[in-house]
Amino acid sequence: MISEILVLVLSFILISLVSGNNLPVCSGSIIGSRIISRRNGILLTITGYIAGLLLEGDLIRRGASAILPFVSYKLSIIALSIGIIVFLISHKMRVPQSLSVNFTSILIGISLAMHLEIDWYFVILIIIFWILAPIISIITIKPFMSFSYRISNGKRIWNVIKWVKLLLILFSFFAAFTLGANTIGLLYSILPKGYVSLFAVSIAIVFGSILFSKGELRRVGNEIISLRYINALNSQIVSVALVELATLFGIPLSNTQTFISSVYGSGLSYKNRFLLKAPIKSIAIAWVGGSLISFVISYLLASLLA
Amino acid sequence: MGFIERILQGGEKEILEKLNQIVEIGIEASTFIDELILKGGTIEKIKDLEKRSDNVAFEITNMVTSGGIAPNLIDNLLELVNKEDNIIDSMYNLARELLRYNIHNKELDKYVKERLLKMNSFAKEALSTMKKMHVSDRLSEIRKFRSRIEELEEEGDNIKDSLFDIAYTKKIDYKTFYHIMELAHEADDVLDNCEDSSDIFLTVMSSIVS
Repeated sequence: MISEILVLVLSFILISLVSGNNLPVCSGSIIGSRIISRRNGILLTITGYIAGLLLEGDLIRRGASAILPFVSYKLSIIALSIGIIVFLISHKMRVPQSLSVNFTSILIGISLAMHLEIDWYFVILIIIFWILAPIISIITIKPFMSFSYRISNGKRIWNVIKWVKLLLILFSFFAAFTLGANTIGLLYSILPKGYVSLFAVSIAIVFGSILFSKGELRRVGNEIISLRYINALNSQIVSVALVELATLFGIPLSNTQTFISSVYGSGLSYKNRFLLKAPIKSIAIAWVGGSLISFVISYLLASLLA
Repeated sequence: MGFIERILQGGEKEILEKLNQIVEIGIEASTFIDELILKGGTIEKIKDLEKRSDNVAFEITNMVTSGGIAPNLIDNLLELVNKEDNIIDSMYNLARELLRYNIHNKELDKYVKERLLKMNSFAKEALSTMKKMHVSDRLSEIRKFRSRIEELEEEGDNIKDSLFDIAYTKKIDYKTFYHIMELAHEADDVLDNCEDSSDIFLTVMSSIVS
């Protein structure tokens, strides 16, 4: 009973952190561009998270069980605790973290320490996806930018902007939807299936989105590139498509990585550009470092407890 | 106004159209300057126009900084408001200089006034073009308007140079010399600010859509 409550409390904390941390990736562009207010942006994102979790959240269970075939309360407590520690550090540093990458590393670390049978083909598929997704984001954004330029060129400016703004809102919702299905779905997959878990996850989403999104919103919205409407829309479309594809295969994939890569790619597609490389570097280091640290800590801790 | 309507209309469009209030004040001020050159008068009317322009600029600045605008546009829009308000400020300075001193040499006075009327007619045309530019939503059209304003500014520059030439070649007292130079500079500033405003406007529109 105590273990059950502890798992729920820890998952509540971690999902809260993740919801806040990932909010700018979903609606940072529409809040940053002031298309909608911060409050409405958060509301839209929360709705997307919960809809994604309810409709597609179970798809990611397949991937989770391939990495961690046996889930006990003790293992869940270890995984969630390490996840929280890594996230608190990244939140303090105001670096967008990828829970999909970190949590998958944690689960692999625990499985190895516990000598559980891991589906290595699936793990390799996940890693290939992780490496390819940011590269695909950067590469595919350029044709998207050219296409949108061709479509909008010569058209009435306010008409174009009207549609771009509406699509941005729509794709921000889809981004939250895919994140709810993929990243939050990954966390949900180690909880007992049922209404209590779903309710706890939903409350955690609302709580975290409201309380933990401020610092990340500032960084993603302003520090990397001053987003134009069309850049933001194209980045969001590419990111949503990749994460949805991964979700359908049951692969945990980071929205943060795909979105930031697309934003970077859209910046690269300009003839004249001024991009700050320092935040990109620090984010990339945090991604790789975060996953390695998560793996090592979970392996050591699980070995100790085993 | 509903949520969707507010999104569809967009803060930028509202602000850019509101800039026409400053342009209309400018057109009114240029009509007054015509009268001032031809018949003389007092500074009160243009002072009032300058104050009205300041108030509109203040309102627009508040709109820009208080929401509905993408951060990458805020700086350009603030500069645009400032430049358009500067047009009226330059007109006010021109009016003040016109009333400050009378050129005693009748022939020279006629020559200077003719040139100033010409420059003022360019300013009026530039402002009318800006008015059309502010409501246009096609980049190609905006570029054409900008080019026309640039041409007017260049023609104004030529007239300014002709005023400098006459000021240096004629045997005149220092006050007259200084007065002509000041008039030429102020009248040119009006056109310069029109040109700068049209440049920034084009930049803003390009960055909204590209």
